[in-house]
Amino acid sequence: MSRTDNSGLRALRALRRRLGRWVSGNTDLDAPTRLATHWRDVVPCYLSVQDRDLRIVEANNLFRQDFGQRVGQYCYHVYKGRGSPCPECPVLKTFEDGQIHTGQEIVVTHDGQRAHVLVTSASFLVDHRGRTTAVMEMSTNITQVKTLEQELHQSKQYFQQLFDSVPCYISLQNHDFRIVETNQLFRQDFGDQSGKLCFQAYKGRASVCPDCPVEKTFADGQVHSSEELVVTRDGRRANMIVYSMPVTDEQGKIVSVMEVSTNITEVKHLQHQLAAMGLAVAGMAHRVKNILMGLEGGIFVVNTGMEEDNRGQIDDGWQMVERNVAKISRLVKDLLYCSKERDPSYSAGVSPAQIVRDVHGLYLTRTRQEGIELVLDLREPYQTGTFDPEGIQNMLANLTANAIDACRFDTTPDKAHQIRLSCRQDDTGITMLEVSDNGAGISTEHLEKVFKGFFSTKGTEGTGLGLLVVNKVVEEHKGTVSVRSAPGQGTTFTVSLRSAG
Amino acid sequence: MSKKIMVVDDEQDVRTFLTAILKKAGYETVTAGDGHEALALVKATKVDLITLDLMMPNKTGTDFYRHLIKDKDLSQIPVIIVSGLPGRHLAVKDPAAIFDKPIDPDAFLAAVEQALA
Repeated sequence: MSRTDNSGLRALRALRRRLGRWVSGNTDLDAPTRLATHWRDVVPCYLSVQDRDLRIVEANNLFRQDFGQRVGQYCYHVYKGRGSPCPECPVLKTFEDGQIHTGQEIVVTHDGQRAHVLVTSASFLVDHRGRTTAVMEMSTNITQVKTLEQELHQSKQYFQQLFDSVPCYISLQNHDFRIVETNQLFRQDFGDQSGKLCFQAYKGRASVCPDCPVEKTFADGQVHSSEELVVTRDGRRANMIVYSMPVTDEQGKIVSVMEVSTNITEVKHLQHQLAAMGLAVAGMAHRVKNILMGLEGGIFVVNTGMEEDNRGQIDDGWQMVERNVAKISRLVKDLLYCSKERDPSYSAGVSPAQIVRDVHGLYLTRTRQEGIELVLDLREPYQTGTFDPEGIQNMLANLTANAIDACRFDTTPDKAHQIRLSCRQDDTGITMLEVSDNGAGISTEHLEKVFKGFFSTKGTEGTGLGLLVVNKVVEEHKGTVSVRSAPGQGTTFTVSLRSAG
Repeated sequence: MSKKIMVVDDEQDVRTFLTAILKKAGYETVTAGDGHEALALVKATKVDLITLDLMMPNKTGTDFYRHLIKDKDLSQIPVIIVSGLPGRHLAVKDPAAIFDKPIDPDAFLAAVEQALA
């Protein structure tokens, strides 16, 4: 106790001596003390002088205000409520080497507030052997700075998360369309394109795209948008709606442009589907009108035949009625097939070859009337398997009806038209079905569209549903379908199906 | 002498229907299944009126009509459009009448009579 008191006193005396020397020439003898006290109490930090045991011998007003009258108590206890010195204590280090040391600590004021402080310790008193006997500790409260720092860090992180998690492609570009920064989704789908040119990264182009929104934003500082077709790094094409907005510096000068692109491929796809559906509905209405006309015609002819007692006419009219009822039932079947309502009904022991034979039988009269030869080509062995027989029959009926139309619409003079229905099977449960004709053929332009829903070139007769039915049945059987065609030479549809059992 | 009417439609059922209506009313009829056939027929025989479907394979309905109106003699023949094609009025200028499929036989006959008068 006495030793501590002595060292405290010594410290004060020494301070006085030092300040006395510093203001030498000053005649006011109390001036050094007053100055020291003043200086001590105006600095905006906690000041304390500690002895070798880290006991506080002297403290300034701010210290006393926030930590109370704690002179004589251990520093670590006062600051942190600890029972032993803190690790990495700068004061202890100064006692060791006499040098200035710094550190950051979290302390608790006497009213329980946590404060982040920046600690600087400096040798305060040196004995005759040059040993530091008292250290002045100066702690600056940097809690606010720390809080700001943390907030900044948090908002930075928040921004980064936002930047990376928005379901849009974001890139920052400078004046020559060079990509400065990109978000995660961009990097995922387009690769790390930092430093590359935007038009290269998005489209593999050699020059700026026409009507570039980024260019416009650089020119007028406004938000611009456009629709673009881009290619991802794995070769997928994507429709994008692109927004460009300016990024400015403090002077309001545009330093870069942020480009935000949203993938609207799905929307586009739906839009096309919807447009196609609209056309299809119109086409369907048209087809129904034609069938109605046929039905009314049949009834009219039957009635006239009855009025005139003409048996032949009655028969003709009745055939018309039957034909058109068949047409409408075909249309309804196709429609139902394309809707999702029908589940395939598989059964075991189904013979695809037999189905082909049935379809051949169904269309024999029709093809004969049209002057087309319908050839049945079945290769042994005939296997049976688990298939949806109704689906397969429907699919083959559609393909055969298409083939008949292809022959009917063929304008090549004197061509002997032929349709071949074939079935080959192997013992691994794979069945290859083929419907081949030597009719009009499909142009390359149309060939790309045939499997898309509601596509038809047949005017009043097409619903655009036939190949949708084919596609559906094939998908249900986890099979494949392909088409080969040459205009003027004919078309071959090849379907491969796998037994479900 | 009864008037001769040419029925042009790619659908057999429509040809049969219109022919039956016209025959019952006492007209003579000839039929054509497409525009080429119709053009050949109209040049070979004198017809007094044509019923025409515009939407036939290979656009032959409108093609046939174009040929018809270019020919000085043939362009005088009245044409009645019988079609389910939306916007059919755009394809043909000044037809004698337009009928949407399916047709009402009485209204159809009335239009035929008027066009021939």
